Amino acid sequence: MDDKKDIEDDAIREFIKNSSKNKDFKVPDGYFDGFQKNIHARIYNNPKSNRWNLPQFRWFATGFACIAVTVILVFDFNKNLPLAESELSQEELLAYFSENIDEISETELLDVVTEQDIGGIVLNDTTKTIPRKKEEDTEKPPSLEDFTDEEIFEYMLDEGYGTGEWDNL
Amino acid sequence: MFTEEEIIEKIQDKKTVNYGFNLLMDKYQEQVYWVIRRMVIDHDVADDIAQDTFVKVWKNLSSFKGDAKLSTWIYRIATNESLTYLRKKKRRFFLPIGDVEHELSSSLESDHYYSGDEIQLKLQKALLKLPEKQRLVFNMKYFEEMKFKDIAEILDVSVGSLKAQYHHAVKKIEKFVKDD
Repeated sequence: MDDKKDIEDDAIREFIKNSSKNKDFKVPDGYFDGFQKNIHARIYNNPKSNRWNLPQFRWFATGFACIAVTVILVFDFNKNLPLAESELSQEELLAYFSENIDEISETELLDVVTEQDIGGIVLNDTTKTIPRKKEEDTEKPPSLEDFTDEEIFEYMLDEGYGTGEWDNL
Repeated sequence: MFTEEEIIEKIQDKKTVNYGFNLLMDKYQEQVYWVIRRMVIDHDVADDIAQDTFVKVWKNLSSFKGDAKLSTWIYRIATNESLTYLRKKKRRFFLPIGDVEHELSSSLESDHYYSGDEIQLKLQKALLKLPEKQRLVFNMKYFEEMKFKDIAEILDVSVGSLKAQYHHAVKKIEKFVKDD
């Protein structure tokens, strides 16, 4: 069926026939000659935004961002997790506490260090050790057998024995 | 002049894509411009939309798989851009349809690049009273002399409904002209 037969009304057909096509609208001289230049200028002067506007690039960038965020979160989460004691040797623990003793509170220290450990802990970078007191030291008072003759003699001199103070007794 | 198939072949090859795009513009720039111009009336606006259309075509060349005709695909982008512009114009200024028609009609009379005679101006003014899609169909059929089958593919409607739309458009134009 001829498309032109769609115009059924004779009057309008006549009217439209009298109206010439494509001669009513004009364009500036040489407009179509410079058209491609304008398109090239827009395409090549803004290549970054072109790439970003490509749907496949957007998907790639979004996917990459999601993976990066997940990796960061997982890494950060693991970093903050307390390590199991079995994963660290006694020496590693001691080295850690020695280096960071100022930053650790007493409560935290007590959580980790047992009473038995106290006997051999090396504090900071000194070579001093805190010897563990013998239980008998605290229970029995010292007797004469614990002191040498020189210590006894020195003590008696300090107390004024031989200077006449003791003669009056 | 290169055929559509030859142009598609060029744009699908990475080595000749730029050349293929230039051929595509050579072939379609004028037809695309006129479809847009008859919808938006003003030359500067039509120029902007025509440029946007070809920039969009360039950006999406990789996604063109050849399922539809190249010309259909380009016209579809152009008509969508034109209709989007007209809808935005209405929304931005909260204009009712009648005011848009009035504004386009004023723009037509003051346009330096419009030199239609009395009959042509009358027809254009009558066309501006039509709903956008009917005007688009009429312009493509009457001025661009496209086949109903091609217009139907561009607008993604059936040929039957397109013919009905065209028939209604003609009837309305007749009424507008008689009443004027």
